[in-house]
Amino acid sequence: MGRALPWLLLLVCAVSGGVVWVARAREAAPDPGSSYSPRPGLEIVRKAWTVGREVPLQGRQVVLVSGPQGRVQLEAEVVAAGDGRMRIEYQTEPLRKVTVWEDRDRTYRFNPELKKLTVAIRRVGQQSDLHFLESHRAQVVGEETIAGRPALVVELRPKSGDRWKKLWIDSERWVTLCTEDRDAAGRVLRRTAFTQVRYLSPDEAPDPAVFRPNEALLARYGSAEPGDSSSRFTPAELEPLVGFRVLIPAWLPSGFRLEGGYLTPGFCQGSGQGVRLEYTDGLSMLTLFQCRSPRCPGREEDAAGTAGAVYRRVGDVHALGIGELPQSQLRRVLESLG
Amino acid sequence: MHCTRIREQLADYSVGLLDRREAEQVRSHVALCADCRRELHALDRAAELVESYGALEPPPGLFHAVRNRIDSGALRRDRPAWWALFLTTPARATAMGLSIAALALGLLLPAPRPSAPELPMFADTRVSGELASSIRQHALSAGEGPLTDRVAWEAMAQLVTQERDSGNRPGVN
Repeated sequence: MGRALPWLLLLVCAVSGGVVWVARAREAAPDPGSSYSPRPGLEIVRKAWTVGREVPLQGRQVVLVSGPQGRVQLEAEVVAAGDGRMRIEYQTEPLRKVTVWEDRDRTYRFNPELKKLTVAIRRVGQQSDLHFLESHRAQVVGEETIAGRPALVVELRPKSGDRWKKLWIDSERWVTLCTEDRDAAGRVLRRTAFTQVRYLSPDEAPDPAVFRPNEALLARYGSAEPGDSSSRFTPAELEPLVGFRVLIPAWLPSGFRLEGGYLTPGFCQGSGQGVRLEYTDGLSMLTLFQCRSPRCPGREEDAAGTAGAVYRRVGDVHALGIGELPQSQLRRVLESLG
Repeated sequence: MHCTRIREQLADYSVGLLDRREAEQVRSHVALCADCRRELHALDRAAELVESYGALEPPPGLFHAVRNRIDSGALRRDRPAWWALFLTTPARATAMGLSIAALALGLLLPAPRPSAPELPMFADTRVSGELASSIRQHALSAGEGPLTDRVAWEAMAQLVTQERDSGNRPGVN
């Protein structure tokens, strides 16, 4: 026994070394969630989408996004009527006084710096679709307080895919108080959180005028942004309108399905009308733009230098894919067009 | 005198190897100690037994006969078990060295880290007018989805629009 002791010691050290290494690897890995006992959260997410969205409220939010100039933190005042009408007014630079109004029919977007107020017909139908829950897992991983409200922390992860979402949902009113979009490594891509929130009683319902710009502003700056049309088509319906065969991807990331097709100006200069196909898994959106033109100078360089955009030419049809997916997946979608 | 000390001397006493003083000490003790006396009798008996058989002489040529058989291969060496190799001193020393190495590897080997995350979409990238319009449309659509962050996506759309329009770049829109 004594003579075999060094080998026993080797076995113990090898196992110990392996355990230590695995523990260090887990420590380096992104935190998949807290140590809170997870419990199913799909019902909570469903309530947030149905019940929570119908709560009239007023509040202030802090928003963290990435734009062409880098990461930007903004503050916004939000008013929601609970029936889909809402107003967002950004309070800080670089979007100070930029306002989005949404009434029952239209969405208005005003940018005072550009002196531009665009008007678009509201979309219907997409917002009530909860099919995406089939391809996601939701777990309650904790409880926190957001803007003075008790909130359940829910992690919403696709069954296959990289991006995921963390939600803080009011445990009493089911309002989503904070949203974080994260990448595979757990980095926050964008974040919006209430810092103050007040739920409005029925007799505190905002004046309907709150949800649309005043007439003077509309008259002076109102315009339509080409491509903001909400009329939805199938790819087959779009083909006679644009005069070219609409390319359909043979491969899509798991959980993605076609939400709709829309007419839009072609992204190649002088190309006329193009199409926009929108795919979603409920959390992420993939948009495929297509137009026909003998040439489309600069698109390859454009898209190659932009995370989240890939370009491909198929004959005389130019396709541009934009989405918050791994670049490899985006490329694969474009390569499968045919 | 202590029995332990006496018993060490009994063997020499029984064959007359002790000097007079020591022999007298042993004799005196044995006379009083029954255990030591029994031990001495056992030694004497063993000596008588050996002497009764006498010395045996090996047969002549034994050494050379055995040597010849070894050289001819008639006698086969009894091989040790295969695992006995691991109990040799060099093998045990190797095991000790590997033990230290295993612990050190566990502590020092770089742990796998997640691959560098991809850039956030459109981060730090100036885009052309046409691409900016496409990104804007994408952002507005993305903000309409279930549970998407409308406030953030509207902000992204506005930031891209400002970038596109404030630079006075020629664009589709």
